[in-house]
Amino acid sequence: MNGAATNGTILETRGLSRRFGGLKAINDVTLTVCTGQIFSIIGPNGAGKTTLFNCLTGFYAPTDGEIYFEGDNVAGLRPDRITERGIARTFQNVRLFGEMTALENVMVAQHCRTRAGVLSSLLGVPSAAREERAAAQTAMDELHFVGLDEKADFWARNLAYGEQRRLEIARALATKPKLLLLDEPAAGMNPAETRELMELIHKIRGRGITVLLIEHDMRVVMGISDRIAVLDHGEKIAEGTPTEVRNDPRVIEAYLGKDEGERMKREGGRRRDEG
Amino acid sequence: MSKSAQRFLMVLWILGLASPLVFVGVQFDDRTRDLVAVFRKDRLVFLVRDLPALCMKHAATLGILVIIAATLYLTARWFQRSTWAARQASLVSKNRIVVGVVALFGFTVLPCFLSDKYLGLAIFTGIYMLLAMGLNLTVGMTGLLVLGYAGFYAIGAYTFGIMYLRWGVPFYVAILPAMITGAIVGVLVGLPSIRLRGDYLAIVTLGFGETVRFLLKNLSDITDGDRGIVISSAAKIPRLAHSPLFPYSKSGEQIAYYLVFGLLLLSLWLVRNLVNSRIGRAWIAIREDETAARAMGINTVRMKVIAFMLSAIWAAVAGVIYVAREGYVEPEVFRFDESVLIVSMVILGGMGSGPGPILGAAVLYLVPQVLRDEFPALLDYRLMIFGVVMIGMMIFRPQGLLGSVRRKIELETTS
Repeated sequence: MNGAATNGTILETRGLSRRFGGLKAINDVTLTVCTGQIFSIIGPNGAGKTTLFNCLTGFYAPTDGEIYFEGDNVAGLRPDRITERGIARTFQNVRLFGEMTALENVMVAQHCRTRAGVLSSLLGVPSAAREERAAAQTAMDELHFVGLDEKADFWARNLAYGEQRRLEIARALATKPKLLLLDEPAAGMNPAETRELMELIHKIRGRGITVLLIEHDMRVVMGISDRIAVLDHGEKIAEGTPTEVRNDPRVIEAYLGKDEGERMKREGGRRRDEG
Repeated sequence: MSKSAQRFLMVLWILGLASPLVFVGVQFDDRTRDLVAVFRKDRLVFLVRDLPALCMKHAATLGILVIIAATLYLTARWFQRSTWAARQASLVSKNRIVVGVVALFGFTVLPCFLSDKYLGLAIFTGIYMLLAMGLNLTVGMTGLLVLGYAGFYAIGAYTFGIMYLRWGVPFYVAILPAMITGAIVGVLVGLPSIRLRGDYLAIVTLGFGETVRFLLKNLSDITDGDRGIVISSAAKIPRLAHSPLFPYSKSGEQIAYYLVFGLLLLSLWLVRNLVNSRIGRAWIAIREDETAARAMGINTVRMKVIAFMLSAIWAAVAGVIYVAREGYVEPEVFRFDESVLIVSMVILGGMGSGPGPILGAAVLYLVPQVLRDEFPALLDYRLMIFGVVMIGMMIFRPQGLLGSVRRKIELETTS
């Protein structure tokens, strides 16, 4: 799994910081995500994970630092420009367009991939109608991909919670991203749904889309990540493969508290001595 | 219902509550007794006994309403195209063709049987339908509460008025320049104000509407101020009396009627195209969740400005038609009441629904007119009744009379 097509860097942040007044929500974060990876970001609550996502997708302008997406600095661009360049996201708390059908939700996401202007939309000229049909077909394909094609004509707000989560992923995929940012996709899901989600994320990577994941569910994170970065108090405290991160004393300290961390560090050291 | 929609309804609530209060404050005098008299028992008995006769008397109005209902049925069906099943089939049911032909025929022959008075009513209903459809693009679809729509209406009307004053152009020459002026003003007003949301946007647009009216009043060099502009009959919509084409015609206003009717059909078609287009979807997405819409790659500023622009164009066309029919325009036509009335039409019919605003316009324009004829005493209490109806709507059916048409999609496809 770790050897997945890592033929280049797709996303790189250098010294990325975002302050809110005196609060350093993220501070000097440097990350490198390679093409085709499933890269997870973990950390305790309030560590700055979602702030990092908001910086990457243009909802917050970084106070400091650069974000390189495919070699271009995209820091401070508007969210819609960033989506156009190929970064899509889902939200921690589901944000669907409730009064639209599932199909329409996914069609909305093709906005920046379609071209019909005001006049051709008004008049419904043949090219616009063709584009509309193609958009509906693409939307249906994406719904099929996440297993929601049966629910195409349901109102988004009437879908079950797990379905809404999947619809959000389908919607993000319809923007034709190169990099997909998933913000806690497994939150509130039962074990069966979580398993399906993990399969789905693998399928997404199989389409050549790099996945950047925020997740609390450690089974998900450890099970599917190629690399993991750990944030705590806005700073990156560790990065590596799941095994490396699991055994990193600073990570244990961040999650379990200082005393526990030091105990484990001592024990780890003793074990090495014994070995 | 989304949070912004709830806030939006709150504002309307307050407006609805305020209007009768203000009115009662102004009107509380001996005329109140007339109102009580209207509801006297014998008057009610009279009303029930004579209902058939009354209906006969208003057959024309009923005719208009029936045909409007048929059109609404047709358009409601139209707007169902957005489901996957409908997209696949893209068939036109026989049912729809029949209703369409009947409605079209009804509308075409209607003016031959109407007196000038009812023809005038039909024309004005049509103008308000145009306005309500235009405002629905911003208020209903994009979720931008515009409370100064009469300002855009005035821009169109006065573009024609001033062009007539300067160069004596007839109305059909003025339509295109009025649309362009409307579009420019729409963009100019839209660009700075769409940074605001909800209540704040409502206040700014309200200010715009009033500013336009006061500019028209005070720039007398250009607009002739309070005196208004009188359009000669040559520049108005021509009247047509007893031509061989209309052997049954009793009046000369058919051309205005057909013009408005044609524009309505055109608007219906255009709005339907918009609803099932990338731009219409972007608007609804912005209304539902602006943050998510931005994340989906929608340039929200651009889309909102487009909504403002198209909305303003619709109002401008309605303005030209209004002046061309009336032959007279003055700033006082475009008061704040007018803006509120148009917003109410959109709310009553159903925000964001295709046929909703048309019904809203028909009800809110025709019903008071009929009431005025039958119960003159009620005229003074028009606004009060209006306020009560709006409050009732907000409580019992906040989505509007036809607000659930889009929602019906699911019920019909899943059952």
